[in-house]
Amino acid sequence: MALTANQQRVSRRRSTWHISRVAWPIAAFVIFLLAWEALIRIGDYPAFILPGPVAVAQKFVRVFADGTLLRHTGVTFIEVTGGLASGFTLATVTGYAIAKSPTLERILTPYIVASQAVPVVAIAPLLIIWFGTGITSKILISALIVFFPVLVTTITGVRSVPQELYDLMRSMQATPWQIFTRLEVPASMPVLMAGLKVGATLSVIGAVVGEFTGADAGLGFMINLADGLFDTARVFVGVFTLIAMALLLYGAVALLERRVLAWQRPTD
Amino acid sequence: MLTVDHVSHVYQVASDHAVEALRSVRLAVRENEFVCLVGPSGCGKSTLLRIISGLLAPTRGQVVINREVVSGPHPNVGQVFQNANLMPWRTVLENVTLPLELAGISRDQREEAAHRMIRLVGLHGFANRLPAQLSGGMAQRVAIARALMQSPDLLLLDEPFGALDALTRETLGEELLRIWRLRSSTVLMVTHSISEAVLLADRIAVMSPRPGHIREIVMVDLPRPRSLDMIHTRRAGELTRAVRAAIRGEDQ
Repeated sequence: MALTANQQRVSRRRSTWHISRVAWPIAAFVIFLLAWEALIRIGDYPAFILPGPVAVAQKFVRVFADGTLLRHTGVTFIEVTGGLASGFTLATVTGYAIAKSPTLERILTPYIVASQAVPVVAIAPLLIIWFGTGITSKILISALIVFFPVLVTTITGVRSVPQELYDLMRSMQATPWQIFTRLEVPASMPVLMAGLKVGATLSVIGAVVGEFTGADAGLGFMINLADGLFDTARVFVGVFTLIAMALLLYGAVALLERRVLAWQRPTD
Repeated sequence: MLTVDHVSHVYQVASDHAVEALRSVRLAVRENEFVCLVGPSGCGKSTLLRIISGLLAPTRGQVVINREVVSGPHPNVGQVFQNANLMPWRTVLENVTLPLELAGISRDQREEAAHRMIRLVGLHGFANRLPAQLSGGMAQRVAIARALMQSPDLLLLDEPFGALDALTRETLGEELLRIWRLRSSTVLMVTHSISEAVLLADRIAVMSPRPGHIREIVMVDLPRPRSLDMIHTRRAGELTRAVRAAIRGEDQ
């Protein structure tokens, strides 16, 4: 009986915790919208400088209804996920190789640092010239911006595997493949997940930078076009959609992390 | 069963700096014997254990286990490291099954064997816990269970209870004797505690400071089965003094 009462108390605490988890962000968002509307009323700004939340909402409905928003969002989403996936894959493979081979590290480090010293905005036009204004160049730009942080975290992750666990695996006659799958991959997972989180937000930036440089579709293109037409409400719709996409991606990675790293939060 | 034949080891720390860790170590351990290795810190005990387990190749000399020269890690040797060395992302059961998983044994078989082993080390009911949920003593029991999974002929223990508090240490020492009686295997254990060595071992090999070699071997003629109380007998006191004198040795 004591146990049941205790369990009830725990579940009640959990449920209130859940409500406050959702309630506070919503309340903060509502306050943000109200403050925004108040700012418009007090300052009396023209719509092409700062449109109010209502105007933005109306614009949102319009571009959503005529299919423009979905089309551009779809293009950007493909670029972002493509960039994240390819950048992450390339970075983890390279990072693992570098972590394992000091020679390779000495050879590759200057190039990697050089690629980071040049801002992506400066390389973007080149990639557009070489790969066109389509999706490919945006995926590459996005991958480029994702690459470095993930590379660094991968190297850190693989190098943080304790020597004693390598000894243990060797003492049990583990093959190199077994050491990779049973030790190195799970042991570097926490650091790898942190890298993926950083990469997820950066990938959105990469795609938009590419779209600003030269594109015929995508949210960045839509924002750029609307800006030229002084359609500021449409700019806001584009920006908010980008934010939503970044949040969604980050949330998905966080969810993945919770699953993969469940062992870090054991429940009694 | 185990013969350490004039094993020497030199660590090349830098191109112009070498450290002689072991100098011509000789040691023979009989089948089902329990031998403790004691000595001052830094005398190369752990190096010797790494060489015996095949993780490290000696600079000179050789190790023979069951008439076979050791050239690398061997399934005949089970090892327990200084800290429990469990994989934090694996449950107790998954940690214990690891050696059989690597050997390609089917899941049903290895889990059945692991459950039996977990019961043997007194962790029944903890199979699905994660290492973070275990005390230091429990973690070390898991490590012992894991080392026993491949039914090794030789069990190497590198200060297995070094990180534990005195009380846990005593209970685990007794537990180890119980398990050793049930599983009859040869044990070579490095320890810092002289009383622990006296309580557990058939013979105690005393090592000298670096470069380490076996300075003296003390026969422990306390009757078996042993219990914690025996440490207070007169004979145990004499043996403890003898080992301590041997550790301080001729260098004083």
